[in-house]
Amino acid sequence: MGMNGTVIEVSEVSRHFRIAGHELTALFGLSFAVRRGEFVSIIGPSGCGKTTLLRMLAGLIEPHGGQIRVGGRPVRGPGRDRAVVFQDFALLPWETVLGNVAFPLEIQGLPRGEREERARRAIALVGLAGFEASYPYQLSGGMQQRVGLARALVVDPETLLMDEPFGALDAQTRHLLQDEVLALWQAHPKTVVMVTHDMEEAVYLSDRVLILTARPGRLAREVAVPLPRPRDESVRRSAAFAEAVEDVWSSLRTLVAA
Amino acid sequence: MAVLLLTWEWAGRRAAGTLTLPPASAVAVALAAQLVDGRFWSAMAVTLQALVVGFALIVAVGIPAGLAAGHVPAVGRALNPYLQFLLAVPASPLVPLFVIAFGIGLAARVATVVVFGIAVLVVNTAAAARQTPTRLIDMARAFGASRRQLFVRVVLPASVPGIAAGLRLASARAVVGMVVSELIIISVGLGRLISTYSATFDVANLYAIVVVVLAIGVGVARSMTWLERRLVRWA
Amino acid sequence: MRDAGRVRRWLRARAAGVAAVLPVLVAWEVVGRAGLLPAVPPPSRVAAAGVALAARGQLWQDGLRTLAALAAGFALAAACGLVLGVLMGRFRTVDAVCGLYVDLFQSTPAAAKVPVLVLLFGLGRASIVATVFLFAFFVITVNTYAGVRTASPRLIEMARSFGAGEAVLLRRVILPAALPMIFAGLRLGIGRAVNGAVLGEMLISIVGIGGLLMYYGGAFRADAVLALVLLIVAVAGVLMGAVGMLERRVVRWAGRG
Repeated sequence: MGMNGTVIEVSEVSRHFRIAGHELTALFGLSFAVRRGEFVSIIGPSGCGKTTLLRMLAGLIEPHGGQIRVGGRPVRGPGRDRAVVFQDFALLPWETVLGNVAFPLEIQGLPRGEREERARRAIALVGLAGFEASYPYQLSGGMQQRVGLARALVVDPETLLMDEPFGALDAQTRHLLQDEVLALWQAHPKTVVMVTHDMEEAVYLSDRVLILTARPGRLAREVAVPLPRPRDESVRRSAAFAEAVEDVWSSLRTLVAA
Repeated sequence: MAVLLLTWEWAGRRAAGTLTLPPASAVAVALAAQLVDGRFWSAMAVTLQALVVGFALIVAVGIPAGLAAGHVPAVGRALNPYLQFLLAVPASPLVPLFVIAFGIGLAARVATVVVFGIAVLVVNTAAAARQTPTRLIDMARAFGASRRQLFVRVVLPASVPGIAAGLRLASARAVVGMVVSELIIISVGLGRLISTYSATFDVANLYAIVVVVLAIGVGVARSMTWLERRLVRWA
Repeated sequence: MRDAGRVRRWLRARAAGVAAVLPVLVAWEVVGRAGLLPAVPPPSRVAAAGVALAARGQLWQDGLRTLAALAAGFALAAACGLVLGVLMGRFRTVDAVCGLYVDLFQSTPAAAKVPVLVLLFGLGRASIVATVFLFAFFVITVNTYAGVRTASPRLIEMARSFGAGEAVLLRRVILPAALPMIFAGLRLGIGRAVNGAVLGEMLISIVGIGGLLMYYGGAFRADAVLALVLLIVAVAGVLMGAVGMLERRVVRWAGRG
């Protein structure tokens, strides 16, 4: 643990990739920190390397320069202290809801009885009790992402990494799930890093919004969201909410126009 | 269907006396007589033996080979030229080679069945294993899956649809291999009956046996389609 | 410049294949020379047998015979397959009447029907041409049918709204849309036709390349059999490549090459 309860420390991180023989820089010299229990969103124009950043935080890929530390230790690969919610759900189509949610516990080698019991609790937590035996194709997109959320929560991670978790959903479902994630987070506080392209979503859920520049992605600005906690749906209609969104939007506009 | 049968019957009756086209009813009678004849069933058993043994070999070798080729790039690169060759080459000209190698017994017919069917299963299995969605692989890795867990819990089940499709295609080709080996290596089985009836111009019985062979083909195809649906119920 | 780059890329892509094949060829040569397996002649002997075959007039005579049967059977199969495929694609009644049989024939092994062809057409050339036809016809029909069905109903409506009759519709809208599928069918068909020609010759009358195969197989000359197999593969490859080239010339709009 770093000072001031810092959990995640990203320092001078760069990452390149090659397309058709051209070297492109996805991220360059990116630094920021996330405190314990904080909800941070990362937003930026498409191609700014948001998802690359999240994959590095998850330990799926490594930075080409700089360092990422989680819980004081450098990230060398995936770890039990972090769990990921994927944009396209990434559910195993041949497993039931129960099998999918229990999957991380199975990997950890827990006995069947315990993992099923914990999975059932996580499933109930996201409001899917009764659907344990359903297969992913039988569920709506919103329900599928609840499964993805339950699968991440079941390991009780210190840090939740969410990669555009509601990006594949329609507007109403997205609002509903945002409310649920907010309620869950307020009841079971965790450190959350969420990548999104939806400004209202970022403001509504986060304590802080980090705005990245277009490729190569680096930190352009960070906006502390001045809305009080606990929040609920009524926040969306407040003047402070509109102002905060406007603030983020004006920063993004200059970045996109530049 | 009825139209074809009626036309066939009519044409067959008109051609009565010539040797080429027996009326459909005569074929039906011959077929019924065959079905209660012990010699027919022992011929059938011999023929199916090559198919069953050959197909079992195809499954036992083809699926592991395909998974290895799809999951381990080096194995895939090493096997690829041979698979491409086996897929491209018309397999029947190879049958005389099997006769040289194995004689005219069961082994040569099994080899024919295997060579006809195996490449398509390996190629399909390998493609399925290779195309395991990266998001699922990422997901499993993010939750800390080991290489073995990744293979058993993600790559293997993700390959099942491709394996099932490969089995369906391989079974169809295996049936062709069975027929070709029976016709070229005429030694025993239905191929022997066909050549006997054809030599004695017993056309009704010849047609009956051909109908049986086609029915085997249809039966195998149907059961493989059924199996495929059973295996991939979650899709 | 661009060509040089392409050649280099092609070579590099092939290098992996060569690297994989070469050790096996060497091992094959060693095993073959040791003479342990009668069916495994060393590659050098296969090559020698191929040269010897080519030097004798017999191969050319038999080869021409096979090619003639192949050409006749394939031309018939292509012509009939195209016509039936278009008719089935355009007219519901034709589809209803013929679809079942096409499906039945397509899904059962063609080789099993060869004995019947012998009865219908005798032991001569006609049976071999018929075998080629039988092997190639259905796959061409099915692909043509599928191609015709892919023609966009919106484009058909568009053409109709400008007063196009069936002939114009076919020539200007439906056939162009169907061409990629038609060519796929022709490519598959020519491969199957080669197969049918050889198998027909092996089964029906011992003539042509198939006859040579049976002759050398009976004489336990595995080297000659393998040389003939390689010749057949090469011919099939060249013919499929030719169809592919024709396709690229005809289907330019499809955004290839």
